[in-house]
Amino acid sequence: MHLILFLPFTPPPPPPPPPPLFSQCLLWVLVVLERNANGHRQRKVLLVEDTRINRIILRKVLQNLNLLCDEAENGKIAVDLHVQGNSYDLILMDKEMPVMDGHEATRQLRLMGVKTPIIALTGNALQSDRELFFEAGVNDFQTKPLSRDKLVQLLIRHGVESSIPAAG
Amino acid sequence: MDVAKLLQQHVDLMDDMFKEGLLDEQFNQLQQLQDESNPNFLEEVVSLFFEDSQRILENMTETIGKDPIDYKVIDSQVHQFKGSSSSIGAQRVKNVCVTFRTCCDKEDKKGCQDALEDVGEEYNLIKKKLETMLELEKQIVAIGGTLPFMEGC
Repeated sequence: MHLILFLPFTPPPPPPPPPPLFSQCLLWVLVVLERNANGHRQRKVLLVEDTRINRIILRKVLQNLNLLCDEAENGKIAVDLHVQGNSYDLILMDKEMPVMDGHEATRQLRLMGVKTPIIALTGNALQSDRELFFEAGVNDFQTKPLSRDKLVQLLIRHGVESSIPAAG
Repeated sequence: MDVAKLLQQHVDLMDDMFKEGLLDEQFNQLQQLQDESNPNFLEEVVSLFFEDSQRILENMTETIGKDPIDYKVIDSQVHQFKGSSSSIGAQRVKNVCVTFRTCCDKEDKKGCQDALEDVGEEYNLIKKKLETMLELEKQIVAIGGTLPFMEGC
């Protein structure tokens, strides 16, 4: 009798090859893994930004870097995504947004226990802006617009490996 | 017109826009995002910029026309315009927005009115040039040419 068992997703390591005892029958444990072609889990970024054109541009940069991307138009949506159980490898957090700004969203995420690296993005390079954001709990601070090269540096600095293509 | 002439016109137009400070390095970043998987990316982003800008300018005109002016509202509108113009590399539009925000902070009515006029002028100038650029790119591609920033894709 051939049995095929489907188990829920479990993290690496990959399953060992079938032992010899089962070589005559097809008893396999199939584990469905969310992996890309290189066998690495695809990293996911949360982009929190109210301006649509900025989201479209950053989304394209992230896609080109082989990163998955969720988007939130304001800080409250970002917080709600975490309340719903979503998790990310990196959060890009705009400062000025309607409903809930970047400072407050960062504070709330840290109060919830979210440890994901948060990168503050702002059009101003004011020292006061930096201080407020770091007090709220961000890990890093960048002025907009965020170039591909700066984003790659941030990803590496915060341990978000991806299948980063060679610069072209 | 042949491809070589159209390409030269494109190069000359882009050089002028950068030299005059209408565009900055961020625009180059956008061009580099266009590839075979997204061959119309630049046109889509520029078109979206035009749509958003038109709407924001109309909103700003309405806000400035009210008495008294709600400076928080106008500041929020200018913030949006500054953000989108910065992301597309429209340097002079962005710079006027920076001045505009200062006038909002000071609740300087005359300053805001002047800044609105300036930002409208700068936007119309960049819009016209970007429309010409997009038209040239369409013509180049239509007759089998390759855009300079797409070479190697």
